[in-house]
Amino acid sequence: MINGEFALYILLLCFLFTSAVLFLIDLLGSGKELFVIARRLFFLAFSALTVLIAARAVTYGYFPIFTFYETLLFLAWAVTFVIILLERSYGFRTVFPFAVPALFAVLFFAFFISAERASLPPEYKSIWLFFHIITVIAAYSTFTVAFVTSLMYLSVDNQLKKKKLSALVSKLPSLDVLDHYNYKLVSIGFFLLTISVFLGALWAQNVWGAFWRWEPKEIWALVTWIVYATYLHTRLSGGWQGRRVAMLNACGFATVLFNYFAVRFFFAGGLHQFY
Amino acid sequence: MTEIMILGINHKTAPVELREKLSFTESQLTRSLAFCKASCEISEAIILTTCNRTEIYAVGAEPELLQQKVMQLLAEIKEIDTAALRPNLYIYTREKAVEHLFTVTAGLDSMILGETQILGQVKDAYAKGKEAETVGAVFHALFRQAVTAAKRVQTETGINQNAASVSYAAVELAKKIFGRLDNRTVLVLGAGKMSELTLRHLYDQGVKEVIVVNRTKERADKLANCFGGVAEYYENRRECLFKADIVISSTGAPHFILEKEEMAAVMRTRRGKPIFLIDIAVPRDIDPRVNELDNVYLYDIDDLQAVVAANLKDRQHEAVKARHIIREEISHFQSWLKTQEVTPLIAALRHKAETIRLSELDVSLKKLANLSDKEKKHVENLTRAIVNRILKEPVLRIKEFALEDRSEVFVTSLCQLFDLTEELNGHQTDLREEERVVALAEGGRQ
Repeated sequence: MINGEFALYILLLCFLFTSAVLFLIDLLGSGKELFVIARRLFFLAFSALTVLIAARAVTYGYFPIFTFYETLLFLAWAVTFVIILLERSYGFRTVFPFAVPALFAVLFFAFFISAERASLPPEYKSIWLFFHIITVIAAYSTFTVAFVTSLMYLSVDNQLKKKKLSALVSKLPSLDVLDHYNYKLVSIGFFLLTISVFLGALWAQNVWGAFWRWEPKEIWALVTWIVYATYLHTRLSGGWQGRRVAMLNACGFATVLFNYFAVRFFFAGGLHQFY
Repeated sequence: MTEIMILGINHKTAPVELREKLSFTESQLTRSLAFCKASCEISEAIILTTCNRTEIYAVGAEPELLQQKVMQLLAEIKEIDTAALRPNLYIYTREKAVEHLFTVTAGLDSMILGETQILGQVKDAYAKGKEAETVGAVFHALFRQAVTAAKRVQTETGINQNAASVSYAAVELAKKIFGRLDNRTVLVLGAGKMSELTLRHLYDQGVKEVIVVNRTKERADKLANCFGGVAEYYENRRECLFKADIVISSTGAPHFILEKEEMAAVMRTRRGKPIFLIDIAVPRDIDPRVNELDNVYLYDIDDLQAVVAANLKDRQHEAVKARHIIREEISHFQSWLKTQEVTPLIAALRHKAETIRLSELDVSLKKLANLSDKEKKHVENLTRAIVNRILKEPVLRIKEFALEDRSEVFVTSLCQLFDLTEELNGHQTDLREEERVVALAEGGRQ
């Protein structure tokens, strides 16, 4: 924990919490001004998070993605970046009330885990490793947003089937648009994940003399990769569309969550022990 | 004293035959407005005429005379016995009349709650009145406020958000599934009247292609031609289902023409591409179990009607919010109107003070002939400043009391204290003209 990090973190959580609440009220009500205020608060939260990460980088002299805490922070930053981009470029406003509460939950969780600086063996200070981690977190962030769009897709689909459209669902984008976002996000995420696996393998070969060691992290990354590969394959070959693809995407995200949060607790140790 | 009144009939008070009789043609409208302009009982008039209502809005000094005159107008222009009409007419005055206009403009009095067409019609009626020079300061302010209220209702409530008819509901559902409809193909099974209506709504959204399938090819051709589409033989409907995104089905078949198994096969060839099936036939054309298939959205006529009913319920809910907005806007207008009542008094007071100032200034400046131009200017500014400072507080108070309906006492006492009777009577007509100019100038700025 660096000086002022605690205060900044509290501030960040306050911004995020207030904006999440305002986004939800805006979604359920119909006041236009609330959205603008909520978005402004969200931008403040984004700035606070950026400062937090930058301060760590400057203080510790490394880009802070080497502890679980640091990766969570960077993941939150990347997700924030993706949803701001989606809103700015495509006017996808309804992503906020769904994604911001989740972001708050992640950062609230991160608040309670150790914020100590990373103490890594010298061989970990490699540009390959750095890009390996950066790309995998970027991949996870796009998968997270893709998962949110899948959930939206499934709820719109469900209500269209049941022939009862709630006010909330009527504010969501059309199935076609949600499907489009979903596809684009997963494609980017899959590309990043693939690169990350390759970079990791190259680095492992360099340092440990083996590309692949069948560690739990590696196995689960492979599972994730296979699920998303199936997703893309079924879309491109055109076998499945719509609802089933959305569900497949949800499965993919479940493997991501499991790999990221569960594997480190159940199968501690190994080369990925720091994550 | 200005009195606002409204006399009219609408779909709630009169059957269509009667409404037709009272509807104004373009030339009748022009003649009526000319009649109002010529009449001295009516100082302002606007006539709103749509297929659901005919309403005459008028301003005058004497309520009784005003009403008589409007009745006379109706009798003369429409050549009907107004006494027989009496049970179908509604007449509102003052606050009631104001509230009525606001309610109408916001679409809360319409047959389809919250529709927005009426706003345009009210604007038109106002423009016609302005053209015929029957709009003065009161109606200028009143109608402008009513339009503001209606716009607020549209943007701040969801009253007009959801479809209020079956065919619009179908279009909205299609948009919920496909987003934009301009690259979509519509297939019509059975060229009936109802399917044509739904097709027209979809076509207006700019669908890419229309395919019509009918047992008799001639009718299919006819409908397809109307929408620049193609007609196909009934036997080829399976291939058409493969191509279509939206299907409108309304054949006269006594049994299902599309079973679940067949649709499942179609979905396999479509590779799961979503499809929206609108079954408006009775008895139904499409097996309801088709809806169980992935990416197939089947709505029959009852489903669509249920969607519309739910939407109308939502509209009723939103109407409560709309009434709040209207109440706010009405109070804005009422305050304006109340301060309007004391403007002649304020003007008279100012006029009196100005007359005194000028005469006294004249006397003094003659005595102070050796002052420079600059010094003269200073003296004049001084007198003006004194008058303004003295009048500032009383004028504010008069306006405040007017808002609280307590201005009567002031009018009489000020008249006697300052001997304003002459000013008040002498300048009444000028003032009216002045108000008009002010109102027009304000209108120009908006």
